Amino acid sequence: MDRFAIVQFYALLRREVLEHRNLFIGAPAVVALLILVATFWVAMQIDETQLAEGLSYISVLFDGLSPFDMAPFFMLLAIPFMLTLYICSVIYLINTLFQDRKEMSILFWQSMPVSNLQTVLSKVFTIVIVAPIFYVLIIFAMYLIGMILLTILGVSNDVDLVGIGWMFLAAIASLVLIYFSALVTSLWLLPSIGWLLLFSAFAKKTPLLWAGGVFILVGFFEDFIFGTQYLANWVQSRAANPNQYLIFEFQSLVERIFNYETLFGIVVGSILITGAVYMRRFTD
Amino acid sequence: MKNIILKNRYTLLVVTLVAYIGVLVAEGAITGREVRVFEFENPFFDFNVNNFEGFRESRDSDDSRSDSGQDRGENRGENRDDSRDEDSGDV
Repeated sequence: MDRFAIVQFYALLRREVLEHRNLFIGAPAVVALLILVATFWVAMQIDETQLAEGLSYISVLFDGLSPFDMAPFFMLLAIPFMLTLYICSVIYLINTLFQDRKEMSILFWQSMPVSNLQTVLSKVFTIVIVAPIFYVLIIFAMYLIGMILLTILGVSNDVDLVGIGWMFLAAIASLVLIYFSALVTSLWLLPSIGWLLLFSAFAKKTPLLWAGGVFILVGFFEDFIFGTQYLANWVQSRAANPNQYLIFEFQSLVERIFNYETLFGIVVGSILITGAVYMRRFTD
Repeated sequence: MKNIILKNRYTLLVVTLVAYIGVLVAEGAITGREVRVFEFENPFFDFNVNNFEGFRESRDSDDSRSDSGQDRGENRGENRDDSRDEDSGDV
């Protein structure tokens, strides 16, 4: 890939982020703010001696333990962010190509030296790689503010704060797990990403209804023509158990990324993404 | 071929969906992905869509076992209805 293509792709990614700041930066920032405010409010309600006891308990709990072993504890805090990311991803994917046609900005972008393939790939790349980075950065900022607050509370209550440092290291280590969980989820659910993009490029109105309606119809047709329920089985096997794509330990990182189900998801997702790329040529 | 596929958005959608379903069905058939089964785990009864006949038979046998108890209840109900009819007749 030559330098010009890299610059082009970077520009497309930047465009996606700038156009959807609310989804990639605003939404997680609001969630982080809500969590911080709620935590601060709870801390204000607790008696000072109890607060000091709680702090010393947390400090002892994390003191001297490996941050990589304790990192999964912080995955719980990431759940609201992951849910926000999923919801924002669906909103983004179903609207992104549809909005281009609705605003007629597609004509401008097609006059630029970028292909439909680059444009659609930039959208996939934004969801799979870029959006989780913003989420992780905001979670990091939240942890940092939380640690500063804990430190201030600890100093004012004469609590030994060595364990708080270890806790911060565990929180930092958990960011890696959170990022890779988001990445593996995106790869695992790449067919869903492709499906939403395909109907975002296809529908003249209400793309979400088209995506949902055709999905149900296709399931019926498969049952009617082939007499099988592989589509329903497959969707059920993918969506039913989040433990399949959430990573709670570093040992299983490579195994989660490189396994048959993930790779097959990429293959099936690629078919739908290819359809979305060709579909983008119909601008009306 | 390419002209037919790219004739309009509908032909392209149909071709994409056919390819998608084709790959899924082929993979499902090769790997022997199990057919979806509704299994309700509960302490009261076992239900499996694949074995619906078995579920019906087991339910019938349960019903026949509790027939005597139900009859008593039904008779009581019938008697009550009769008495109600008589009451309404009087009025």
